[in-house]
Amino acid sequence: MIARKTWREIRLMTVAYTLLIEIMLVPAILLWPKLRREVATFERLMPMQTLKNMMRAIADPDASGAYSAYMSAQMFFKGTNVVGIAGAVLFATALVARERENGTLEFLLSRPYSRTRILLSKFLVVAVALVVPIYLTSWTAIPLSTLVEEQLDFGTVTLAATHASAFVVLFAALTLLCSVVARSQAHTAFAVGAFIVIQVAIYFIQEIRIASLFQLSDFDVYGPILSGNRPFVSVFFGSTVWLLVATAAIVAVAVAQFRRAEP
Amino acid sequence: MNELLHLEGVSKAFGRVQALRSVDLSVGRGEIVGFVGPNGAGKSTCMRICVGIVDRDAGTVRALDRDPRRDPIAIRSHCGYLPGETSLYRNATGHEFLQFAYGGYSVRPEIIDLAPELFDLPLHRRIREYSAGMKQRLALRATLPLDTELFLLDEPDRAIDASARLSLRQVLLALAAEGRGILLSSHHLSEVEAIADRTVFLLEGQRVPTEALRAAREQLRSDVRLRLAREIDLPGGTTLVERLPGGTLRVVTEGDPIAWLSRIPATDIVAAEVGATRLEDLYRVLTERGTEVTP
Repeated sequence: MIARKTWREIRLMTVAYTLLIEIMLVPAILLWPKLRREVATFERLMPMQTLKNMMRAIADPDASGAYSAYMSAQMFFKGTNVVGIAGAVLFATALVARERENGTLEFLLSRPYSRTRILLSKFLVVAVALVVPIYLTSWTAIPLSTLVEEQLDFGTVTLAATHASAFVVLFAALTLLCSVVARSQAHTAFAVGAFIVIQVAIYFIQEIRIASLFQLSDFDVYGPILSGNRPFVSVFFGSTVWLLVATAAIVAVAVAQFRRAEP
Repeated sequence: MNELLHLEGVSKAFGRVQALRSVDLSVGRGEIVGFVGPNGAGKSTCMRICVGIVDRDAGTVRALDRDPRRDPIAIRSHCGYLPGETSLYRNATGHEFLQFAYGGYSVRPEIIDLAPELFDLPLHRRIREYSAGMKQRLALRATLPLDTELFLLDEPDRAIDASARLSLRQVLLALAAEGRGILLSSHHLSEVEAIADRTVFLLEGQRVPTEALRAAREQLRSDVRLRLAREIDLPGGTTLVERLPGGTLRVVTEGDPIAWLSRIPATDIVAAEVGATRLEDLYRVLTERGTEVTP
């Protein structure tokens, strides 16, 4: 019941979110042959070392390596890190804060379900709504790539999508925690938004980049995955699983807070 | 189990505000207990504690022979709770809302048939298009047909018109006749007293003892509301308490109010009301007698 209600609330946003990722992806793929010729110019124009490195990898003389690097930037570094995280914040902000703000929290809490079940049901629906579009849109890149005479491997795309999904769900969990604690959606969005801005700012400062969460989901992570240079075990057990563990820990704290919440 | 709800010495504070002070309360099978008090008296907090939405600081609570602190889901599964100040999901249709509200309960459609004028609503429409009265009737439709032994209804008559109120009264009496217990909170003292087997009065988080309530009512028995056709000198033996809007005077007589009233020429009286127990008057008298109502 809770899951169905949550899905009803976010289904239109989920469709819009899926379309947005896909709309960003399709022209990126179709424009690849033209962009490839201009990569050297783009590299010179890039303002930061991080972005210069990314363009240098795309300019790789090995054709398949260049396309993998390009797609890792387009699909994951740009696609999921921007649209995915925006979706995570948008979906999860409302989970509890909106109920509190609209005065429906008491009615929700008076249903014959435990608070743990209420919160986990809501979070699970949001997580699925975020993750499924990432997989679906990533897989569409495989046939689309053939249109520009390039190839992507299903296994590597799926592995990259799994890692990207874990990263996005981590942000959904952080937003959920804020939504439980904050009095309103605006407070939740502000808190998470400020956190993301700080994380992005840290990421672009080479010296302290290691302190940014975005380092876990950047070009240097997805490039080697898509080019097949990082095996599943190394990716999944090396970093993805830690994202999932962190997500589980944050959700556990959110549940503990929600159990104490008063309407 | 004849006692469906039992509270003993229940206290609750929100920060520095003491919402409940050692409240005792019980609801038996087939009993309607009126729960009356001004805003902020602690009625809603008390009900929330009973269904385990809010935890108590002290005292014992047994709802359907269970402690809401330990077994809130079992209590909520067998208890129809209508929150007082809740809003409904504005973007859902009435039908979607009911589907959600009935989840986890068995529902008795015959209750809806009992008062179609109360429960008849355009369920295909979104709740945001409903009037305040329709929203309240939808909330009632989400609660009263639940096949539960105990009902905790926080101001069920809020925003509904007189005929819907009458239908609500019929439904509540029918539920009580089936042996279901009802704790009924309301601001309408006359409505509550018309159907309640007992009335519990809460003031500033404390239950007003029966003796204090009786004394306050006794005091109000000599209360006269009087509207005169013209300005006249009132007969002696009274105290003018206040001038109400519309020119009505409220006086307290020393002796028999009827005898006092008969000393005024009938042609000068437009309207007179003797000894009516209005909730606001009761609040006033109890508040004035504050030290006496404290147990």
